Amino acid sequence: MKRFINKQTGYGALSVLLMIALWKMASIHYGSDFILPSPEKTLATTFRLLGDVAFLSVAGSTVLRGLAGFAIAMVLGIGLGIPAGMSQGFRAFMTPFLVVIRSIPVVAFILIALIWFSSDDVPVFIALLTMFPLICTNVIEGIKNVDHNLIEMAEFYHVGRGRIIREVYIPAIAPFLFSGASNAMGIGWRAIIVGEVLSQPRYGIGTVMHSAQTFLNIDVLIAWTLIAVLISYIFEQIIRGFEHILIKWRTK
Amino acid sequence: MKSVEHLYKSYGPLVLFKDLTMAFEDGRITTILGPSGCGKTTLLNIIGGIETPDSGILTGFDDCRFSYIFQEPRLLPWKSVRGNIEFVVNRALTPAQRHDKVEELMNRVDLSAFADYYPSQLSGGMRQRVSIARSFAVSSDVILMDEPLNGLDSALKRTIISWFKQLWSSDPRTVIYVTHDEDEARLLGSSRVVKLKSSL
Repeated sequence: MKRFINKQTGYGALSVLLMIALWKMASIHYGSDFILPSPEKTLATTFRLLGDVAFLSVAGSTVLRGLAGFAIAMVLGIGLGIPAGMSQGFRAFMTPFLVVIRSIPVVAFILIALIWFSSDDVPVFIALLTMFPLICTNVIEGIKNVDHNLIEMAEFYHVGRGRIIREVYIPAIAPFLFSGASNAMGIGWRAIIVGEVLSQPRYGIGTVMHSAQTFLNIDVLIAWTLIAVLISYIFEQIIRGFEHILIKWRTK
Repeated sequence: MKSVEHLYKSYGPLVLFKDLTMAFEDGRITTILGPSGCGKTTLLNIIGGIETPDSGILTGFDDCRFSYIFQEPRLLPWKSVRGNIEFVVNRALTPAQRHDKVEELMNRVDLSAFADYYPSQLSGGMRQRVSIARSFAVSSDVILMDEPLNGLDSALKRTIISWFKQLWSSDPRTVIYVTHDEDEARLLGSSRVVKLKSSL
């Protein structure tokens, strides 16, 4: 088992090394920092940015927007997903909303949101719109998959309604909720940054990426990209960590 | 004595029960024997009050509390053995009383060593033992058993029945046991065996 994991990690590392090697070769081929800076120069820039005083305000603003959008999407997704999962009528009512939100291009939302909201709130709104349908759909699927026999058993034994929701429904939808949350986070970060590029809030990863592109600081642009990937990865790991703790009955 | 009298039940053209009358001795095991499709589960559901008969009289079941042992153990996958039994215990008891009750029952079915195991980590026979222990965790008057040994091999059937009888003899309740297997009826030592004919 241990050996197997090591082998997997080895292949993962190999693929990262290959990407860096291709990057290095391309940067040598173009020979210009304005087109593609070398990996080592970009890495140096990344560390410089990480140590910069403005780093926390820039990355922090983006993270806070992401968390705000995620929190609202979770509340709405669970709050609407549970009744939609339990009632066919409400599900039929919700489906068009979910389909419409999912199929509208993100950019269309951003362009409209730019008119409606302040530049700080546009990315939050975009995050919310991209995350909500994913979470809601997963909650609905989760409720639909609750084993009816278990509900019947609990009712036979006169277990109260509140406890049935807390101890049967919620644990049953937890795996679905986690997979929805993890998908939502993955897509959400990208949407937030696109929103920031277009809405240009004072602080934000999208804002600094846009200005780096304008001034042809390609190393800065790629460095922020790496930071965005890192943030996305960290949150993915946090969700996985929670999942591991809360759904231990499944992994054992 | 509890009984069902002149029971009628049909689903569309399918007549399950036509003037069915049957008595159950209090504190004894009554086995209802019949082939699949003869309406055994429906009869249990009618007795348990989950389904209503077209007509008929049920006597002695009015203020009854029921326990069920289902064909599948129906355990919550996210709760341990202890948690699954505790789930049904009356909330009017204090947490300490509930704890004692659960520990005692796990002891009785010899699952104390597995108290923190999840159902996915148990064998089929062990899961059904948890389900049996759970049925004794509530203060029910009647235990309804719907082919709980289906799909288990005969050696396992024998051991599970002996676990059940051990629990039952220390805490006898009226048991209504449905099965299609005559061996089970005999092993269980039923005080009565009633045969239902296939309506198909």
